[in-house]
Amino acid sequence: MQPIQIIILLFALFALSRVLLKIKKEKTSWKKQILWVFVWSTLILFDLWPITSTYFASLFKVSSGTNFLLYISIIILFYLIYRLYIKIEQLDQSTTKLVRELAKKKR
Amino acid sequence: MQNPKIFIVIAAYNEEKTIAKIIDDLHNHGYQNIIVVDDGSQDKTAPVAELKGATVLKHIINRGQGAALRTGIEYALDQGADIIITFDADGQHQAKDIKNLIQPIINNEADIVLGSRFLGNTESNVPFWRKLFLKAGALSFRLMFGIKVTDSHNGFRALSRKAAQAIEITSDRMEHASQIIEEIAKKRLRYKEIPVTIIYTDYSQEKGQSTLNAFKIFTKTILRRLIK
Repeated sequence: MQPIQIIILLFALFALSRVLLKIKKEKTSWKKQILWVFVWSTLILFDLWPITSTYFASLFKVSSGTNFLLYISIIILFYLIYRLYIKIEQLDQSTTKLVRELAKKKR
Repeated sequence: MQNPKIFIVIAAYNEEKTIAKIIDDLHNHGYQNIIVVDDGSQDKTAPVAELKGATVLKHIINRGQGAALRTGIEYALDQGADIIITFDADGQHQAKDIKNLIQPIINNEADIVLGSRFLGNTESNVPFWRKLFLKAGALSFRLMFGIKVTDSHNGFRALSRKAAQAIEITSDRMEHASQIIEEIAKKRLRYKEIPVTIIYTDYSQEKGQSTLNAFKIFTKTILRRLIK
């Protein structure tokens, strides 16, 4: 096992434990956390058995397993940025609504 | 429409230098219902406006011109407004133009009347680059919404009660101007453009939109359409 694999494994386990703890604490939020359980467990899988990424790479005709992982990560990252963008937009609108109601009420 | 209840809505952000004169001017032209939405100013905009007899609504934090106008419009509707005028706080708009602006609504020819600095023989001194961008904006409205206007981002408008109720401004910042045009198309409102004079002073230029901002407004408008 390479040092980098150990670092990734430890970090992924730490992150996964956080997610699982959160699910245990707030029983209702498990649906929202499923994406994160998936992300961290997949990372652990590829970390422990790098050969699986090579398998997927050849399946999708990508030159190497590392490249395959990079592509997938970038796609997931962009999707998360998009979700954040939407969330911020919603927050922005509720803030405005709140400020507006306060302004009208104080008259 | 006889003796319509006219409300003037002014969105103001740090305008203590100009707001008093604008309110006085509006009073002198016989407009009594003046709503100033203080959009989280750090200066004395709110107390000055209050002293001059305007109704002041205070946004506790800055939310942008679109948000402030909507606050003012909603309040005016609650007060039973028949016609609502949106007016800039930096001294660009002339109170004397209001009577022309509201005429098509009184005559029941339009639901919303937009001021244009490019129509007729107005005395507007529009800088070249500004003109170019406003015209590009007007062209994109025509392509995107099928609305024919000569001036794309003029904050001087008159809305009938019907139009004010129909138009939903959800863009907090400057994109609200494009959104209003979009809403006119979507809600099939009758619109008309009337020449108005826009005075560009050093002060208004400094406070107003930079030409670069036009790009930002444009991308935001496109983005908003994409994510909806």
